[in-house]
Amino acid sequence: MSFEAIELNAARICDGLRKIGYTPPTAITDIVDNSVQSDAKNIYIKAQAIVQSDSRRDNVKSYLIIDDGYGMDSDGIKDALTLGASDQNYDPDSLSKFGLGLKSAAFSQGEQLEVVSSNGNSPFQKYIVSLPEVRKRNEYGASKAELSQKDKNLISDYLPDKRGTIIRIAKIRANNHPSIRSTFKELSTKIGIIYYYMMSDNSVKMFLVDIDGKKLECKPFDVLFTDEAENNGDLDENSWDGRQTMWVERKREITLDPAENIKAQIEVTQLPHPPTFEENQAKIRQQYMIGAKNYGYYVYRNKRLLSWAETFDIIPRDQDLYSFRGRILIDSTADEVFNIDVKKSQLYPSEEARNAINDLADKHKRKSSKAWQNAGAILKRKQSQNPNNKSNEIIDTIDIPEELSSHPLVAEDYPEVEKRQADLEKREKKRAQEIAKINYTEDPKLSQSAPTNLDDMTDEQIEKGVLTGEIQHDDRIHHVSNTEDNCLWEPFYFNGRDCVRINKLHRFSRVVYEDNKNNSSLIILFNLFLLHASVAEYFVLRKTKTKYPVGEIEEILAEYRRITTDYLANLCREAGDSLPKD
Amino acid sequence: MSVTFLSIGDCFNGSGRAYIYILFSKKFNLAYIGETNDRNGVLGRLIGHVNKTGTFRKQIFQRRGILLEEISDLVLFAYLLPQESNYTSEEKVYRRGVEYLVQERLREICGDLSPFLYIVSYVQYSDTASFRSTSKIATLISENFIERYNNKL
Repeated sequence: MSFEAIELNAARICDGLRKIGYTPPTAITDIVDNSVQSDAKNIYIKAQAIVQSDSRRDNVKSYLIIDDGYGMDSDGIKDALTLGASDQNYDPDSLSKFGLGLKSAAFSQGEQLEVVSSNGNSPFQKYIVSLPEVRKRNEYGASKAELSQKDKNLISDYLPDKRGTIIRIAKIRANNHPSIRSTFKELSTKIGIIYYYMMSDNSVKMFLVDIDGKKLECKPFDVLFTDEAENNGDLDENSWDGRQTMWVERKREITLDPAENIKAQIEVTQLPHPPTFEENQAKIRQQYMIGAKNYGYYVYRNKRLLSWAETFDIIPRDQDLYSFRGRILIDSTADEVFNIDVKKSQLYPSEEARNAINDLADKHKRKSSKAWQNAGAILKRKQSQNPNNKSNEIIDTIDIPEELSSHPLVAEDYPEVEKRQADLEKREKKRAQEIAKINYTEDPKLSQSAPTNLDDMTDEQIEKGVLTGEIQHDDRIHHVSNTEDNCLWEPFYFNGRDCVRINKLHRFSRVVYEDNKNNSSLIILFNLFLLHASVAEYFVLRKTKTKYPVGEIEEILAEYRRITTDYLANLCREAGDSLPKD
Repeated sequence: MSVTFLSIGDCFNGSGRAYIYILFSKKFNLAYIGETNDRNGVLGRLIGHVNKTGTFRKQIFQRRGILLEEISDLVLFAYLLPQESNYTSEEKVYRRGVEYLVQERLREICGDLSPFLYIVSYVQYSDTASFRSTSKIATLISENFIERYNNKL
């Protein structure tokens, strides 16, 4: 078998390289990666206009990326200009990947790439790769050039230690090229996010230099606002009022590939709920960058942002997830499980990695959207639009009759009714204690203020343990996370009135309250129906004339609720998506 | 002639009981975590898993490209959940909470196990996963499994 070398078509390769989808900001930041890699302390991004205006399209003469890193000698520059530059100098946490970034990023914007550099031991050298020249010769190469006066001025202005690198992308194509202002606007937001880790430990400073020479320092920007979450604690999606950033998932490890034991770190926060801030909501949206394009996972490779608000086709487009912010931190070991494209802005996880993220994401999505809905419900309660609030209001306006004409009572019945009522109150007081005890034990937030002795609580402590989440003192319809025997509902005598506890975790409740969250009429009617089912149960226990012991009737009614609950769980499981939704 | 010795204890009994179970094959480095309140316990649920449309059969093929018949070293761990209606009723929200936490823990350390494991089951988050009681049960199950697995059962 013989091997024959086949010539490369240099011009077509360069044309292909320039069309891999860079925008001016992504091209510039890909080159900034090299500056970061060269241990620069200061990086300047400068644009020169054709005519003195930063708002005009097709008006960029050149882009300059200047850094005071360790710089290069002639051989270093030539290596950097090679297509597929040597990876000998790439350390394990390198931002570089294929040795193509500098060339493809520069050619994507302009016809000429110029490199001026010195490592401090030798004078500045300059090399130019001109695409017209490459096309003419059909051969890839660079021309050594003398430093221009402009180059000398840049060195004197930005590189006082006479060491560093200037990259100039010149002869910018005028094919609907964005204005300098719009590119700089995007960069001023994104640079702080892309290089958040490098900038926040003060290892590097980055500046945008406008057409008048004015420097704007970019500041590190933590898209998760973890400092706020650290101060505010873990998210309780059932009581979050939408005002604070909270942890959905504190930083933890996940295994992306068990065979190679490749790990990543993942963390998620819940940002504030803008509508809660009413007239200030626009300000909150802007401050936290809350919007359709910004929620999802921000993937950082070697502490450099790779992918912005990545959904992996796992996070759906849903407004209830707008406050969801996740971060996945990987290093170079994960390159094989996260296939990364040449411009390092898109990634394609392996199936196994996707499965690992998917399982965790299910928790993140559920908690985040439930919290968003809860904050919305609190806001609606405040605005008197909350259907649960409305249900309680309706019931407050009517008299539930103590007697029914179909079941008349006579004077001699009353002693028995009073005795049954006294028994019921005793039993229900015990039940309230049990409920409070469960809530103090199970609820991580409530447990922080739990009484020392849960078997001997004051009435006040019991009430606090019973009225969890959004339940108010006068409410008769309580939405709760636990009921006796996990039933869909249970009657509850509290505050001297017949109430109902509705299990909001039951699948049927989720169909009503979550899948039909915008159907207020359904929710109100469902609440009122279950309240009346409970009132009726108490009526039977207090007032029905029967030859059977009340204890047995009570047990039969409880059994009836358990069986109804099981049938409804079965209905939800079997009917699944065919049940009506908003 | 091959002989299979199977100790099934009473995991065929699902009357008023519910289980978390873990099926795994060391040869194919895979594990499947599930929950059931099947009338015939975990064994009853297993029948569903091995039939034509069984989830276990489907998942190992979809996620690992393996036919169930290729697996000759399948091991089953069955963990009995508290015999309370929260866990044993038709409504599975509590069982799901434990199942989620067990799977989450095994996913976290599946690369550290020897041999490593691919988790082939899919699990949905359940709100009860944040309860202390479910978390306690899930920790007992996952730590017991990890200990036994690392000690070669």
